[in-house]
Amino acid sequence: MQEILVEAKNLKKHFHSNSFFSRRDKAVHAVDGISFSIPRGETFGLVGESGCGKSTTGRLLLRLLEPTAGEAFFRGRSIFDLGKKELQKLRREMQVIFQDPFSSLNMRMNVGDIISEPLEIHGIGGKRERKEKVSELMKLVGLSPGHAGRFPHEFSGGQRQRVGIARALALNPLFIVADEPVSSLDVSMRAQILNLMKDLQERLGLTYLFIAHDLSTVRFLCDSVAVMYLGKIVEMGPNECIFKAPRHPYTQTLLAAVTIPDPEIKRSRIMLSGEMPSPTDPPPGCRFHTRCPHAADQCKTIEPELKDVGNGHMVSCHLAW
Amino acid sequence: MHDLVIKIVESGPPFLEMIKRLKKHKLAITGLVIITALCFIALFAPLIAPHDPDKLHLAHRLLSPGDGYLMGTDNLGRCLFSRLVFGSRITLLVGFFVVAITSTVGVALGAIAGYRGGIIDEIIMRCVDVLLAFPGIILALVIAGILGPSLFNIMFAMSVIGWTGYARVVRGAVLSVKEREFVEAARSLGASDSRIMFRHILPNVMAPVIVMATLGMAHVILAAAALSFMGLGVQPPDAEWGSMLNAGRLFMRTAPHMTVFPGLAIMITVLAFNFLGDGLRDALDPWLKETG
Repeated sequence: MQEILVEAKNLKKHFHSNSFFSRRDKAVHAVDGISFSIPRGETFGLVGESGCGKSTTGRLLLRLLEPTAGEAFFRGRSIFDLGKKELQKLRREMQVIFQDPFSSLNMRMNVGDIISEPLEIHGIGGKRERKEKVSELMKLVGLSPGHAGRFPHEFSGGQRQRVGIARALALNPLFIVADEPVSSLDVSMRAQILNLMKDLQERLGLTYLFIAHDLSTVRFLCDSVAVMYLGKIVEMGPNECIFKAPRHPYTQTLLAAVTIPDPEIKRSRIMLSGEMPSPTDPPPGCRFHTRCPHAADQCKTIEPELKDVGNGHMVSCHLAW
Repeated sequence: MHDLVIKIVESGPPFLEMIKRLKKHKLAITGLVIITALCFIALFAPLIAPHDPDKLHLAHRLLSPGDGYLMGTDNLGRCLFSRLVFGSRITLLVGFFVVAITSTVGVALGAIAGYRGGIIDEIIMRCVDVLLAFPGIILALVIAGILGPSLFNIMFAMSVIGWTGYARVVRGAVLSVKEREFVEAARSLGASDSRIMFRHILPNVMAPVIVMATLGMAHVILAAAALSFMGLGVQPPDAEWGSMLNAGRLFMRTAPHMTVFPGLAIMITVLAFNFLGDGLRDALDPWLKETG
């Protein structure tokens, strides 16, 4: 049995919009009770449309946001009960890589300063040691250490993403939340960054929470996958189960939308009608019933539970068996 | 045929790039030269002025420019050029002082309001709204009326309202910058609030503040001259451009030089700051767009 590194239990995050003069209490149910666990050294993929709460989940695990309810554990310790000092320690062990390499780097700082900032914050090493560590990290992610004095705008998108990865690795973390790290890169860059991430995982024993809306990258990188819809996990399981035998109609439509670079292969297209309902008041029953091609009467009233259908493959659908 | 696409890659720290772009802006450089010259004149006023600016020469009253006096004399026989030279000290002092105070207070309060949000934000921004509902010059008149007319009091009066503009701009900029991912990255690294503020947020909101402060100099100098013209600011016999204009008003027909020269001095100074401000805005713009 592998060690569970990160665990979420019934995690919820509702956003309220109230200011002093206008008090309206309509909460956005960004994350609405999700549970999962990530074994050490594995990559856990979180997939879903934009607005389904996958980034919010990542930010909760990093404690960049406080949860409305629920718990999360890192190496068995609750993340949300930590005091300031303990939180600071935790920050060394989990890091984040962002989607947009243009906005994730402070353009007023040179790349060397950006990468050494985590060391500075945690008071690691003297000036010279930090400098050495920076060139070491830059080499590790495939950048030339001679470019440490340059500014982010002098780099390409892929190179900037490498800078972001180097920054995340500076504190030797165990766990990295990668929030759509390749979504804003072009295809050739994507492969390079994904390979880099895979390579780093093998060398440093990293555990990833890989957030994406693109299934092909998830399939390539992840050991297990969870599909989110409107703040809930609708299907979760090992990579092969999800991609070879998806049970939830939402997962099936998502997979049907993946482009296959071979015109010979015939595939069925399932088109979804309508938009994702507003997370301010999610539909009753199964959240997907408004768009589900198979929706039955019970789907409109009874909310399906996440049930194991074998081999750790979990589905939340009344009709999935 | 192939089109040759040449991509100009700008390189170097953002600040140096801004200087490079500013250098291409001729009007801004003109403004900068004038401002530098003014600062020089103000610093070395006693060496530059040919006469004591306050010494009365009743025998030499209302002399035209030329006659032994570069710009002539006023109704009390004082050398107009020397008075203008010494007047530049007060003008620049008022400008720098008021802009320094208003921008510091405005940036600090705007940054706190934007970063903290919530009730603190509401309190600060509603104060700004109240102050902005007041016509500035009337408020200055009231303050000068209560505290008595003096240079210090008009600087105080202008500072009381002046910070609001900075606060609004900075709050807006902070609101947008704090949502950017590098701020979140810094938080996930465990950076303290003050570190995030001073290393990540403030450097990224300073561009509009620099432009505002430069244009604000022109505005303050003009307002100070107007208040002095109305007799609320600098009191005689001290030389100040606004009050010199007022003194010359009575002799406009017989000795126009008494109003023309102080008027020109005010105009040139204000123009210089406006040119520089415009140039700075253009130079900072490509970068403002990226920040916004």
